[in-house]
Amino acid sequence: MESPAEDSELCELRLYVAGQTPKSVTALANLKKLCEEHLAGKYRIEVIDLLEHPQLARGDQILAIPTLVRRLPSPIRKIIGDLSNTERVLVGLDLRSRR
Amino acid sequence: MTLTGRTQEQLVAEVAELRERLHDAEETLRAIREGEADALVITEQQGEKVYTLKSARAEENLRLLADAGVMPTESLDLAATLQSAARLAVSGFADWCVIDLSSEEGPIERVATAHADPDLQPLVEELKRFPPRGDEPRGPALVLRTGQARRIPQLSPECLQTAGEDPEHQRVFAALAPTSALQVPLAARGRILGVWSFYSSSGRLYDEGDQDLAEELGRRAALAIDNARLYGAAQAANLAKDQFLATLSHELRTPLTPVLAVISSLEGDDRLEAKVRESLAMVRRNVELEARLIDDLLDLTRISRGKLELSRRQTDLREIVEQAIETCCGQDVASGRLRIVKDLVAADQTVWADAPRLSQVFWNLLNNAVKFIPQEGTITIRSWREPSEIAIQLTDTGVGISPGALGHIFNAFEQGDLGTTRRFGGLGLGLAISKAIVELHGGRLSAESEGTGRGATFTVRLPIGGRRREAAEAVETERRGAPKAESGRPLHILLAEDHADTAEALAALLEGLGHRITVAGSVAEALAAAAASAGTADVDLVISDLGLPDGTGFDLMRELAHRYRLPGIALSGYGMEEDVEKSRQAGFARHLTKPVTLDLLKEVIGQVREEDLNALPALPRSPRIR
Repeated sequence: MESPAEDSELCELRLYVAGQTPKSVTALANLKKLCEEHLAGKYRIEVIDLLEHPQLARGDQILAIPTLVRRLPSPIRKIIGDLSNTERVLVGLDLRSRR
Repeated sequence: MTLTGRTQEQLVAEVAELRERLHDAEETLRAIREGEADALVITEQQGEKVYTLKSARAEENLRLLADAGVMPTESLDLAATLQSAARLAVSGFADWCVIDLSSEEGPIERVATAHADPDLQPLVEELKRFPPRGDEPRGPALVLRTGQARRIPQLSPECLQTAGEDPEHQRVFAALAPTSALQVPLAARGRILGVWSFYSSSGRLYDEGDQDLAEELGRRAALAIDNARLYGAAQAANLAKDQFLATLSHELRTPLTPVLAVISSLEGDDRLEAKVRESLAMVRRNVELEARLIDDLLDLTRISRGKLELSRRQTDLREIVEQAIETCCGQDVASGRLRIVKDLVAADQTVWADAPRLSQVFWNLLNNAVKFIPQEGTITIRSWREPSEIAIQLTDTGVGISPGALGHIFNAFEQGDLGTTRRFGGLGLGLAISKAIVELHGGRLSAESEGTGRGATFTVRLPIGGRRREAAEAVETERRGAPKAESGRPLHILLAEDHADTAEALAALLEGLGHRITVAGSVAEALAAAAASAGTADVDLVISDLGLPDGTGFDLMRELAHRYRLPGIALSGYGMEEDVEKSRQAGFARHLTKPVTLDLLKEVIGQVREEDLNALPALPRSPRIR
């Protein structure tokens, strides 16, 4: 990893889902696995169900579900989809440098 | 008004934010295209709403089942399907039958009834007034809860007495005189959708074999119900997708206006160093590229709703092709990467076409060819006459198209394959849009390739002649057209725009053209400004945004056209056909979709003014608009 300083920071993640749609379920499972492997002990996941609270889509400007938002460390990053492509998620979260 | 409030850093930050938003949009489309997202958030008037997209899989299942001929009907109309199923059952198996459906929430519905004896059909219809209640300990309600079929070989008179609590219900039931009954669940994909009840009144006693058959009928009906419901959901999802794209386009387009305006004006500022201006030109090219991507998205929604319209006139085909080659290939030819071989003699004639749209087709095709030529290569452009058509053919020496991909390269969002998307970027909309445009012209667009690595050939065929019917329109278009590049007398322009950045940037541009600007942030302010200058006939022209805080641009224009006969230009972020049509009706002479460039603004102001001078004073202003 490029900057060791960032390692100590807590990674605050927010996953937007729509009830139990297959992709929502897949995304959460993928996210948990990925966090345990790459961010063990340094992350927090908040799951927001937009079927129950659709108005919460506004804050992070969510258009498609599932969407993962990294709230911290800044800048805010957004990754759309079921997070099945681990490589893309890691790049998106700045856990692996973009080539 | 000046631009001093804005630093170069702010500008860079704005462009960066824009890039971020476009990135989000592209990501969203990618996720949908690759099936990684299965729900969308649509902002409606009542607030956000979530649509789950089961469509891709659902539609696939749907086609499979339809092909397999699972249900005795081709119809996806649920009520009709069930009614025909009920009729089928009473052609021998049962004397009468009833189908009940459970809904997501709410009560059980009795949706179909049938009786073998037409005279008794009205009687069995009466049962629709007594649908089962979910908590009943027997009958269809019990089957709905347990999912288990019930067989009552012989119905005793006591049984008839206990059919429901309502005396009227009991009377109808007794009058139908059932002697034996079968009640089977309608279950699909693990869910119980309803119950089908078969009755015999002729003394036939249902046995186990009859139950098997009834259960099979139940399974088939359930599949049909499931299909119809999935189809409904897929339709809704498709609609939602169109609306989603329109919203997305608007969201992305609005902030481009001030950015483009400021850049154009800075580029023309002699006080800036040449190097800075070069960088600005680069920024502008990129913003314009983004605007084009957004236009593609909008075009696609128009096409999918059958609303792309052409504005045709006599057009020199050869000139269009030559210009497209210059625009798309000029740089690569100069650098020696690309060689162009052309024979456009046959194209040296006019076609009845929408020139900007036709240019778009050749840009798309040429850009594609350039994009898919890996290092060095040649594009050959030939033309020839056919009996009623003229053909333009572009052949490149690029990566080619695999036979499997050739069949669907004209589908929106699809490039050759996913690997291609990653390697070459882009949204994959160009070919779909090009094909639609060519077909709207009455022509054809086809693609050939001998395979991967062996180049690709695209052929555009356009009809020759065929303008008779539209001749009248042509005359008018030409009368209206031909922008006058005149600077003319400075105008006093009333600019109604509530987005402060956009207002500031546009005002600066217009002032740069020598006009005097009054900015109004609302309908009320604009009307007040017009009233203040009415005595002196001071305001010459209105430019108005459509969405203002206290009303719409349409309201404003109607007032201004009516009271002061002012000509007007509408600005909107959407560019939807309804808006364009509405603004014509409201009295706007032109409708521009953001972002607006300096050149376009100049041209349109020139045109509107020209028309204004030509118009007879006695004519009301609005009917001039087509």
